[in-house]
Amino acid sequence: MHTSLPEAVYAGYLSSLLAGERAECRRIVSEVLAMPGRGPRDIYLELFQRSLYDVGQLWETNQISVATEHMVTAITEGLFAVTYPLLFSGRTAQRTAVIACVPCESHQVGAHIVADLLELGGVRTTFMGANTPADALVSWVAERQPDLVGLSLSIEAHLPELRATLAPLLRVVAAERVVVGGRAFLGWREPRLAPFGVRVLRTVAALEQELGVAA
Amino acid sequence: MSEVQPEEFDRSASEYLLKRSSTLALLLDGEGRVLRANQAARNLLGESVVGRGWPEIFLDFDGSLARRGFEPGARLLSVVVPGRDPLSFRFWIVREAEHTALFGEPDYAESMRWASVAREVTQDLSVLTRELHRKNADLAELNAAKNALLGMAAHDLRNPLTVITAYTEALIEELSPFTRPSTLDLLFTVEASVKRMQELLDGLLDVSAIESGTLKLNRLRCDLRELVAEEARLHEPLASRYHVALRSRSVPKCYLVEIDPCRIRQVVDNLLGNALKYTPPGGCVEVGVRDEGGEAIVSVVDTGPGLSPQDQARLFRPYARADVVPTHGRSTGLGLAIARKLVSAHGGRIWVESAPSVGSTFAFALPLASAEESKSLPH
Repeated sequence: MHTSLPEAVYAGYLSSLLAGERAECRRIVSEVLAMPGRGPRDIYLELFQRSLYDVGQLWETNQISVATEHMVTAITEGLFAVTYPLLFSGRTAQRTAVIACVPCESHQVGAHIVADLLELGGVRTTFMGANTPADALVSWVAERQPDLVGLSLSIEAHLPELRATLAPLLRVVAAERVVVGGRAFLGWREPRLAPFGVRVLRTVAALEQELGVAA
Repeated sequence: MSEVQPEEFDRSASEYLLKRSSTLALLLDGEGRVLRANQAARNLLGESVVGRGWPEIFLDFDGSLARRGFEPGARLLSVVVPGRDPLSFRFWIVREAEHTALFGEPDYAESMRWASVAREVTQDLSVLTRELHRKNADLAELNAAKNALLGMAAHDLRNPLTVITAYTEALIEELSPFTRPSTLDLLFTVEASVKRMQELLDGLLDVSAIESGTLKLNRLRCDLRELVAEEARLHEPLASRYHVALRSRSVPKCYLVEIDPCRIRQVVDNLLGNALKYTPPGGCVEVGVRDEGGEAIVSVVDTGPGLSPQDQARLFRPYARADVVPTHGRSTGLGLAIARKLVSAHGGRIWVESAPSVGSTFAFALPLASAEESKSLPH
C-alpha cells in the first residue's frame, strides 16, 4: 500500500527550501527517489506541490516575503530536473499534450508540475512555460494537433487574456481537446468556460482522470 | 485618545532612523571622515565605519566626488560592502556648514526589475532543461532504433555474402587448372572484397550488440600473457609479409583476469593488426603485458607514422579515421571503437600515446582477478 512520506523528511525539505539551501533540497529529493517504492510522482505531489502550497500559505499570512516565495519557486523548478532521467525514458508515447500559460501569466510552476505528471503518465507533453504568446501557441497547435491543450491561469484577473487566447485557438482545435485549470479556477463551479465550452479542470487528479493516466 | 506631540514624534522618528530603519544615515566632517553612522550603516559597512574617510566607503570611478565633493540633492552612489559586491543606494545629501549628511535608500524599482529578470531567466532555464532532457531521451530512442536496424541489416546481409564466398571459392578451385591467371585474379578480388564486407558487417553487428546492451560476455579466468602471446604468434606470418619485426616482451608472470577470451582476443587482434598495417617495412611492433596498481596492462608499441593530438582524440569513435594512411591493407573505421567498448564492458580502459613521426603505443588495462592468484611463475 502506498503511504505518505515520513513527516520528518518533508519538514527537513521545507525548512531547507525556506533557507534557500538548494544542495540540501536536491539531496533530499534524490534520497526520496532512492527509497523503495518511491518515484517521481511522490516527489511532485508530496514534496514539490505540498511545499509550494505551504509556502503560499506562509506568504498569505505574512510569515515570509515575496522574495522568499520567488526563491522557493525558483529552487523547486530547478529541482524538477532531478527526476527527468526517470521522467523522459524515451518510450514512444501514443498521446500528446501541450501545456502553456496565457500571456500575462507569469506563474508557471503549477503548469510545469501538470506537464511533468502527464509525461509521467505516458503522455508526450510539451511545456511552453509562462507568458506564452497566443499566436505562437495557436500556430504550434495547428501544426502538431496534440490530443490535449491545457491552459493555466493563476489569477482570475487574467481571464480576459485567457479568453483572447481561446478565441483564435478554437479555430484550429476542437473545444473538446482544450482544458483550462490552475489556481484561478479553484473556486469555480461551472464544468465549462462560457462561451467557449472548454472544460474547467480544477485539480491535477481531475486532469489525470480525464486522460486516464496513472493516479 | 491622547495626541502625539510633535516633539515626541520627531524624537521617535530620529530614534527609528538611527536604530531600526534600513536607510543608511552617515554624517561626514569637513575632511570627509565619518563622524556618525546609524545602525543600518554600521550593519552594512562594518562597525568600524566611524572614523573612516569617504574614499573607503564610496566608489568614485570617474573622480567626480573627489573633484566636486558631495553636492546637495539626490544622487545615486555605490558603497563598498566588506566581503560582497558593492551596493547602489539613492542618496539624499544635505550640507550644513562643513558637515555633510547622507541618507541612502535601496532603489526598490531597480531591485524589482532585477528580480523580474532573474525570475524570467530561471523559468526559461527550467523550460529549456526540460526540453533538453526530452530531446536526449528522443535521441537515445533513435539511437536504439538505429542499432536495431543496423543489427538486422548486417545480419540479413551476411547470409548472401556467405553464399557468394562459398561459390567464389568453388569457382577458384574448379577453374584454376584451366583459366588464365588474369581471370583468376578477378575472382581473388571478388573473394577479398567479400571478406572485407564480412568484416565490416561483423563490426556493425558488434556495434549494434554493444550499444543495445545485448552483448553477452562469457567470462572465464584466463592468463592474459598466454592469450597475448598466442595472438602475437598468429600475427607472425602477417608481420613477415609486411617486413615488420614483431616482438613479444612480457614479464614472465601469470596475469589472471576474468574475461571473455574471444572478445579480448578481438581487441588484441585489432591492436596488433593496426600496428602492423601502419608500420612501414623495416619497422618494429612490440607487444607486452605488465601489471600496475591491480591492473594487467597490454601494450602494443609501433614505429609507424604516429598520430596527431586531433587524431588521438577522435580515434576511438565509430567510423573515425586518422589522417595517416595505412602502409598495408585498409581499415573499416570500427575496430578501435569496438575495442574500446569491449574493454569498457570488461571494466577496463583503453588509450593511446603517440607523437607524429615517433610511433604509437596503444594500451588497455583490465582489472586483475585477485592479487594472490597472480603469483610469479618461475623463469
